[in-house]
Amino acid sequence: MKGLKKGMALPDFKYGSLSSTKIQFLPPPRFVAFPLNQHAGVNLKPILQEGDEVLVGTKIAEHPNENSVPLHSSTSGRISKITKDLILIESDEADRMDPSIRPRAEVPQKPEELIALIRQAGVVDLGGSAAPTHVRLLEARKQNVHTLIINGCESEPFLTSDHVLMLNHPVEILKGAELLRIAAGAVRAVIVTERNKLEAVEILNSKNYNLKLSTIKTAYFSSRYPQGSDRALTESVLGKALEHGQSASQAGVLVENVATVFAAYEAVYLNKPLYERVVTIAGPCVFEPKNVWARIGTKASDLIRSAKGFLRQPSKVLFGGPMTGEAIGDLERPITKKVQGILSLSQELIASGQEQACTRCAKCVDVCPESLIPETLMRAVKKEKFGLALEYDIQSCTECGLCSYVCPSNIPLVSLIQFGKANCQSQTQQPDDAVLSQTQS
Amino acid sequence: MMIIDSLDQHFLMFVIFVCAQILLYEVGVKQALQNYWFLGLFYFLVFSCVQGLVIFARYCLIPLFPIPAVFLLALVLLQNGLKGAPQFQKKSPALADFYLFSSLGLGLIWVVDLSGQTVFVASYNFVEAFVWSWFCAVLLPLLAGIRERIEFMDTPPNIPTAAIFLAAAAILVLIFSFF
Amino acid sequence: MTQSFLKPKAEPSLSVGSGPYLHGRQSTSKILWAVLAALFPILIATLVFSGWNALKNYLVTVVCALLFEYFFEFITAQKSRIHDGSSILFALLFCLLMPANATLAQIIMGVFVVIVFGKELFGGLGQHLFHPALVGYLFMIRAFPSPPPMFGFATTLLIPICGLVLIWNQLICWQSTFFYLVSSGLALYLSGFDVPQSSGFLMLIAFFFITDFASSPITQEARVLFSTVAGLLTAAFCAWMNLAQAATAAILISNAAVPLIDYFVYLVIRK
Repeated sequence: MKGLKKGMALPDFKYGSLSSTKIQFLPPPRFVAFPLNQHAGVNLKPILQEGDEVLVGTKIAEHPNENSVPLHSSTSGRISKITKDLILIESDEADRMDPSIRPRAEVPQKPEELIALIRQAGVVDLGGSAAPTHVRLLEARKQNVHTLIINGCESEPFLTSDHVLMLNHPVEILKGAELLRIAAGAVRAVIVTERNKLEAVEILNSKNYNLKLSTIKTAYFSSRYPQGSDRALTESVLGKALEHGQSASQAGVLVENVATVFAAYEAVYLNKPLYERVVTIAGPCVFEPKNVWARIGTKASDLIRSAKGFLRQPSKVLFGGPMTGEAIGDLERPITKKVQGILSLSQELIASGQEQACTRCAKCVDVCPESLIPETLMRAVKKEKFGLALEYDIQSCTECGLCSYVCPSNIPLVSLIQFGKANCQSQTQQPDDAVLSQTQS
Repeated sequence: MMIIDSLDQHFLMFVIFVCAQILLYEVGVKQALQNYWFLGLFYFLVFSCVQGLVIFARYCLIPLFPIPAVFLLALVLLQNGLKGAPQFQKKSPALADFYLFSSLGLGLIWVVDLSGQTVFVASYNFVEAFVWSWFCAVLLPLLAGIRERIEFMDTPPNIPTAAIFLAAAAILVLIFSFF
Repeated sequence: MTQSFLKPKAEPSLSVGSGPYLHGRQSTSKILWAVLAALFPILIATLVFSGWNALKNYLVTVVCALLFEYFFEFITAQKSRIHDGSSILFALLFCLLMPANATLAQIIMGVFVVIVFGKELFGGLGQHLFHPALVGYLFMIRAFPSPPPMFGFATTLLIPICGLVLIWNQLICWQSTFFYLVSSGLALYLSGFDVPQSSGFLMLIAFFFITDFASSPITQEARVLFSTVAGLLTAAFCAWMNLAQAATAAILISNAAVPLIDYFVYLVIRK
């Protein structure tokens, strides 16, 4: 089990936020805001009204659709404003918890009950996609997955939230892994991490020695990006390559992030809904990079203030990692469940320079973890030959960002491929490869 | 080899003909590769027919000039026969026209070449027929690939792609003029 | 909102942009200039070997290349791209192949073909189908009888050294070089050709001509196939013509086959 062969080893930048491996607790913020479209397409409906008192963990919005999860307040106080896409809560800074949050006497063992509890707590995939976890577990049961892979790789630069979570809460992660394994119907679970997190492996192994969870194993692979992608993990753990077009679940594997596992543990054992998560505040532009327990709905400006503010004016502030993250234009934007990190990046890291002509140097082809040809996709999208792009598997692109990273001509490959994907879906498939035309007959 | 000797006179004609095929009918690489075996066999058939007709005419001391007309007639009949074949129904209805034009042109080139021969062509050369037909069948997807690539790339704005494609074909002709 | 007294300076707004917010800091221009830098010792070595009057050839080549590219781009209303150095590279490679006693008129004509028909007509950097220097050389050897280029011992040693430096810095692809050398060397040796005498030329082709990115396929496997085919064809064509002509023809035919090879290999990989 050596790990990802394609992809590449990115520069780490993790030393900043790892100057302390503790996860700092923050005072509750004055205002929290909850956008109502927490996951794609579904706008949650608020169940309370303006002026209502809430406690930490009170449910504030939900949707009847069975693929959605409810939203809970992350602070106690009063709902100050409800608009059609936002709930704003003003905190009384007293942190009064909802009385239902307490350790459960009897932990259910049946998968259906576990899945219901995980759904009730509003647990979503905290590794970036924010897909509801109960939907993923039900899908996994349908596909008869045999292995649960717990992704502790965190191969993107700057981010260390999963790393410190594993260091500080190994028992919870192991117990949560066992819960998810039962819920998914898997035979075994493997907690996977990278070579730069060997202490986490040691801690997990030593705690598991006492817990004696024989179905949970640990493994580590090389520090290459994107080691944590579904395809890379499945191929590394199962030891064989996925077939063309085969997804991880079709190969019998479910991949869940360690933060999700921890949230599932808290949901089942402590009846605690998902209202806070570990967030890395990092980047060369903040004074004190660190990992914090951030309440969902906290504004970016509050979190940056907790890192003692800006050392210098950042060029970009991102939610998430530098490769797959999203730049925010306004520091008052609140974090949602899927935000793993807030990075304040400076110009010299991002600056790529003028776009030049593609020289077919094939560096993008060499690094693409999905074995696609980004050069061809780029040209197809630029010439609007979307049929050709589909033929070259544009839909398999996971948008990891490595092709743009490595391109010496500074071509914005990821943006072009995203544009192409959007247009491919909207077009009915026209065979672009030339057909013999009906001339001269 | 008969064809190889006259290449520097007729290869230009041949390459221009193949280019015209590809530009007029917009043959794609995928199409050409899917029909590769059929193309090879088809050109083999055409070459053999032309060779056979010439040998027959010389044996029977018939003059060579009606051969193109006979050939054309045979091809029209063949084309009508091919149109009904299920192989073409599912690929493209215009494929039969392509074969007609293709074989017509090739046949004419060969007949012109053969009529210029002073040496009596007494025997049918199987190897030559085979090599020639597969060479044609390979050249078609090769040039189709070149055409698709030229369309794909950022060519200079005011220059038509057909001109660039013919420039590429001209370079190929120059290469083959070595032989 | 009015500005608060506590924040006297207005905060600059953050731009958003898209795509990964990290970059590998490589640059196409730097790669091209690096290849030129690696070619420079070889140029000096040929000057030492064949006499310093070839220096005027090189200078004329460089000047003409830049002029022709600039004028072509001017005529076709494109932005001038002469700063990336690619036309100088191809023109100098062409000049290396030409004999030292070539007249200035021949050189200028050749450079014209290299730049206009080899590179610019197809779209400039990265779009050319055939290797521009070889297109120019093909034109020259069909138009005028030229002896094949001979390289002295020092140059023959210098070429692989410069080439290996480029490969070490990952500026050119090693698979093309290696497989071309192996296939052409073996095939020529087995057919009785005098390999050591022309090894300088073969090395030059292998390190600088076959490795040109735009005229070779885009996947590693396809590059292996491409360079092996080019090597075998080089050896095969030596039966009809001298090595320089054979190599030119072989590589240009392989370049023409590159779109087909690319398509074919990608289909096979996917299966």
